[in-house]
Amino acid sequence: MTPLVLFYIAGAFALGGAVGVVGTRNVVHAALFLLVALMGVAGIYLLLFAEFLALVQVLLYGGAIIIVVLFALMLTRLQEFSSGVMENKQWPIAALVSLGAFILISVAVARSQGGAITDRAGPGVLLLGESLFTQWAIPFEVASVLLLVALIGAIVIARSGEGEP
Amino acid sequence: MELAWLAPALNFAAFGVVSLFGKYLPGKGSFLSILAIFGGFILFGVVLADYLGQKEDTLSFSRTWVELGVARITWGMIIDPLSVIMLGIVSFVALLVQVYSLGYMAGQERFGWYFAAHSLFVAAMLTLVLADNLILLYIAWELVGLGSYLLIGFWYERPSAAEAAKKAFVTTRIGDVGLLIGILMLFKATGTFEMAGVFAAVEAGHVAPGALTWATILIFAGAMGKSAQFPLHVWLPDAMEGPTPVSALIHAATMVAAGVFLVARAFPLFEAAPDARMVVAVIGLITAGMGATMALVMTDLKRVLAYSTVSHLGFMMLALGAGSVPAAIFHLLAHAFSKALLFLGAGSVMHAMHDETDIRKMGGLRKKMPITALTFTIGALSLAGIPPLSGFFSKDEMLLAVFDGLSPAFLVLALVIVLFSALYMARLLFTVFYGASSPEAEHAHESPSVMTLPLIILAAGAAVVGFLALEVGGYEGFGNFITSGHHGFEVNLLLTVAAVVLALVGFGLGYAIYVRKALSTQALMGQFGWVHKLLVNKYYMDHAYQWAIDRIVLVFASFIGAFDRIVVNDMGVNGTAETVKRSGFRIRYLESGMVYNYALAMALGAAAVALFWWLVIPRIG
Amino acid sequence: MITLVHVQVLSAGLFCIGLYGVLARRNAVLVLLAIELMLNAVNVNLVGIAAFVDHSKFLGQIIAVFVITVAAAEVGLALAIILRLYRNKGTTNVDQLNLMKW
Repeated sequence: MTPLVLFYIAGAFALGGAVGVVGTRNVVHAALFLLVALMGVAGIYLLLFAEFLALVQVLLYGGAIIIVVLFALMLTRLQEFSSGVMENKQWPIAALVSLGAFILISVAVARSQGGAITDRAGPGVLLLGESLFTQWAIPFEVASVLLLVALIGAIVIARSGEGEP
Repeated sequence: MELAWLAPALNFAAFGVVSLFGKYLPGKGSFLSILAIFGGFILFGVVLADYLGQKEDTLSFSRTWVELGVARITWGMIIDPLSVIMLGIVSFVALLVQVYSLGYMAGQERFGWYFAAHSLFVAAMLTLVLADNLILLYIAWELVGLGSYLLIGFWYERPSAAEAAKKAFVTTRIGDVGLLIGILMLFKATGTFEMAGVFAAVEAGHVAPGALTWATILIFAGAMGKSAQFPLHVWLPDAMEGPTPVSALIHAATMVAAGVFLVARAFPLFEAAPDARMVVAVIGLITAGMGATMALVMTDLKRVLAYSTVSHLGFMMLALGAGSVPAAIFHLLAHAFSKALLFLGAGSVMHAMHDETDIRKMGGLRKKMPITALTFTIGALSLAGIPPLSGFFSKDEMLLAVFDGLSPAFLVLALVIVLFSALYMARLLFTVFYGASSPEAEHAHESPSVMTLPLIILAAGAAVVGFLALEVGGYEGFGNFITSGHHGFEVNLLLTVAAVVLALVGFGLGYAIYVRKALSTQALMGQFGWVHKLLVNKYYMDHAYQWAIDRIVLVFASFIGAFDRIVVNDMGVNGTAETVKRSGFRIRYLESGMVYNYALAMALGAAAVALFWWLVIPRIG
Repeated sequence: MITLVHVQVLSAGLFCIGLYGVLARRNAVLVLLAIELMLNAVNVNLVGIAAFVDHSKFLGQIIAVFVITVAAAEVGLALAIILRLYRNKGTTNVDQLNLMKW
């Protein structure tokens, strides 16, 4: 199977999942569709020689984020799980805008390059790790702090309301 | 001599002080006004002595006021025989009228304001006669109109008085527009506003004849308005709504004389434009005739006098049109004394009759008010042209001028009008003072001396002033005085006799009809019914004016009013406010509070920027 | 052959679908899911550029790592906020969350 075919398959997963996320009436289905989409994206990463990223993608998104989202959905106890209108009042314009944006970007991209660039390569995990811990060490640490803060923040926000003002 | 400017200045100051502080002053400030005008009279004496003492023709001084490019507006004064005489007439008659008013207007509301307006009027009139340039003259002209409006409408609580004041102002305004256009035309042709400069340019022939004639006629239009010439005479009879002393001052001696003065002052223009002079003469004759005929049938004491004024002013214009400034000014002088006397006398009668003015309700007042009757008789005889009173002299000179300067048709008509003048004067005199005493006149009594003293002084003047015409001793005679030695008064014996005979005939006729009742007025009215109707309706001129106003002026005004209301107010002002309000309503929804709306806006904005970046930036680089 | 254009068009498509989801969905959680889509689209773009163009440093992949990190943090926080909102207002319907106005 040529890379191109593989690309199309992965792309189909990604796009199909995306459409499902925004189109389905059932919120839980939407979360699951997101999972499908993100797996498609992981496949794309593999094709682009970003193995580490693909791994992280599957682990994080599939393993953590989707779970969290599903938990949140459960906690908000939606009666609209599979009922009612899922779109708000401005969806026609939104559709228009999205379509327009897509056309705009595609045309711009196609015009500027025209399919000339075809070489692909990837660094490999070794190079990536080296770069991440030497040249990009500080952002790396900052990202850790960010995660910590987000964690604490999430706890604080979700918790207070039980007793404290 | 340079102090002459104090005369108007004192009166302006009096106006200011009395109008603002009159309430707090004793006598409501009337004494200040009288003091100011007395000062003016003293100044007249000083100026006259000065002028006679130094044998120059004219004097003037001026200061530049404003310079706008080519136009220079000065204010200054000119002292020549004409202005000296006018200064004297105005200040003297005004002084007497103000003293008289102390008695006549005693106890009236707004007593102080009366004197303040009086002072304003006098100040403006004095400025007018002293002015040496046309702009200052025009300013004073307008101020005189304002003073007249204020005084005619003094009892503004009365609707008829307010209407009369408005009518006077509007009618004279029509003339004033003509005056202004004429002044501007002259400025365009000669480049200056100063009268000396303008006259010099005209005499040197620098002004094209067509333009000169039109400009002169337009200036005469201004005179027509103020001096109540046909067809702008309609305001004068209505102006009798004002207090009687006001009528004496404004409508006998001063304001109406302003028009005659203007023509006299601008006479070099009229000399250079004979067509304009003819216009003056014709209008003057028509006016004299209309006034005299209407005075024959009016039953209101003051209205008869008003129409008589109209007629005499027409006569003065006729004399000017014939080419004689001295004759017209001399008659102005005689008329000022005599007519003011008659009006003040009428005021005295009204005071005694509790403001009754219908002469049919009067009679036999001679016995009740001897002083008034005697002075009134002198005034009436003078204006009828009976020698040796002043009116005889002046009328004689005027007829002579007409004989010299115009075609015989004018003279014949003028003589007929002389007859009528005598007739209506006799009618008035006999109806009011002679004959049987009417019931309403039972309680009449003589007026206080504050009022009768001016009457006596004026009567003396009316009797004696005529003799100024004669050249006696070292005195050169009035004619020479006015024209600075160029033209004295002459005498044509035939004409003089004819005029006197006509006057006596007219007076005698009046005596016959109204005292002896030889001819019945009823019979006359029956015979000439349509004539009578025409005259009583004032030749239907008021009707004509009213029609014109209704159909033309008001229609135009309502159109303009509608335009202002709809376009300017509703659309412009209100419309703008409404638009802002409504757009505010609509725009409010942009801030819906919904996050997804804001997100949409952000997306759109980003897309727009991207589009812009992609398409526009490369083009403009 | 896969070209950069393919990758970028795919990225654009994902992004725009995510955009539609953000603008048009009613449930706040679903909006969040759409945001995740958009972030992933950006990642695809970055990785694609790293693969095709930047053959020395592969910056795109590094940035993508960080993007994923931040996205994860953001999801956690956002869900906390949504839970809080749900407790206060009883709904997760964005139509009824209209406090951001005067």
